[in-house]
Amino acid sequence: MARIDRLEIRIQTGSQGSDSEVKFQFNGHTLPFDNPSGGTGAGEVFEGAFDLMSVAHAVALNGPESGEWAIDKIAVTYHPSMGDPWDLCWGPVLLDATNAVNLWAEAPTPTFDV
Amino acid sequence: MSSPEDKTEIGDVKAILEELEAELATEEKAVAKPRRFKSWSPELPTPDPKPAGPVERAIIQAPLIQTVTSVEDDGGIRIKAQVSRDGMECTLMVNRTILGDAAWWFPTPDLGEGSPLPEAIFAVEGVLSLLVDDSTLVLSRSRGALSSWEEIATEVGARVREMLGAGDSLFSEAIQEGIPTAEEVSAGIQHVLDTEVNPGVAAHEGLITLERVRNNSVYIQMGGGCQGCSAADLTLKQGIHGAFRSAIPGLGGIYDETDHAAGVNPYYS
Repeated sequence: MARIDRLEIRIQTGSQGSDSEVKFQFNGHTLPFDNPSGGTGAGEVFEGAFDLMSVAHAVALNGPESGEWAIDKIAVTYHPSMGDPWDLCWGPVLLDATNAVNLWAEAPTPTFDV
Repeated sequence: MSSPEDKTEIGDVKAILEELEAELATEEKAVAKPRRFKSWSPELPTPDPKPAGPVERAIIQAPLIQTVTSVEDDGGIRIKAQVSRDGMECTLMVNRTILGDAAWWFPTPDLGEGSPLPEAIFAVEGVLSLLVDDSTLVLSRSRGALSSWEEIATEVGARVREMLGAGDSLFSEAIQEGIPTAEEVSAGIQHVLDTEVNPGVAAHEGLITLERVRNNSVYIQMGGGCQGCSAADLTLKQGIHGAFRSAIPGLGGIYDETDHAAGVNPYYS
């Protein structure tokens, strides 16, 4: 498990937007994003970040408190305390008040040219 | 010396004492049984057995798109290698299509005979098996191989670059013609899941589902007791892979999309 200094997120909403505040779970704690920008309406892009400064073992994006939120794409960059940041990108998912989508994956193993 | 008056008084006292003893005995009995003060007992609301708290959300998975492993395309043949976390496999990512958009599995070197690229790759010492999927090559190496993954990947990369540069056919016609359609793969895998795999893992409250099919490759999810189970990888590689491949000749890649870290009811935890 890596110690993460900062998380940055970019959410591309699909055909069905949401009015709820965007919140995420970090190790079981529900938090809003710092300095959110953009929107979560249909076709809009939301951007946010959070200075975690903690060891991560579970990160998830909460569904809206009411209605459904159709997401086309979620891109996350993790900035670890040691080593290079890594990017992750997920495809379409439908969220609601009963669920949250996983945003955590360990850093990929390094690549080398052959 | 006592007067009749005194006798009367003594008799009264005795009677009073007897009454008091009787009352005391009654009260002791009453103390033994808790008194019920129905008239002024407060009517408390029935406590909620589960205090209200935040709703526990189900953690779901979205398809992960690998963006970190993209290979730059500057016109030349570029190959990047990545060793798996457990060190058992090495994936070579090439900025060229190798087998169209399909996949082929070579479990042993002899099954690569007749196909120029697999023959060249298996000629590298230590290579045990090969999965060709679109523009990636997934290698496994034999136990006790003396060469490191860096050495093997470098040698394989040189041979791939050489063969791609020559522009010759890389695979035999038998392979090109033996690739099953997505419909055949989907129907075959579902049949194996329904008749062999799921009845077997049901004993551990597990459930394997076919998530999607990409040409002749499949993506599965391991749920219930399988999700997060410490034996999931063994079950997948020694049980499910074998059942799938024997039922569907020409099956390409088998990918597990389960987030095992999110499992809440693993059988072997």
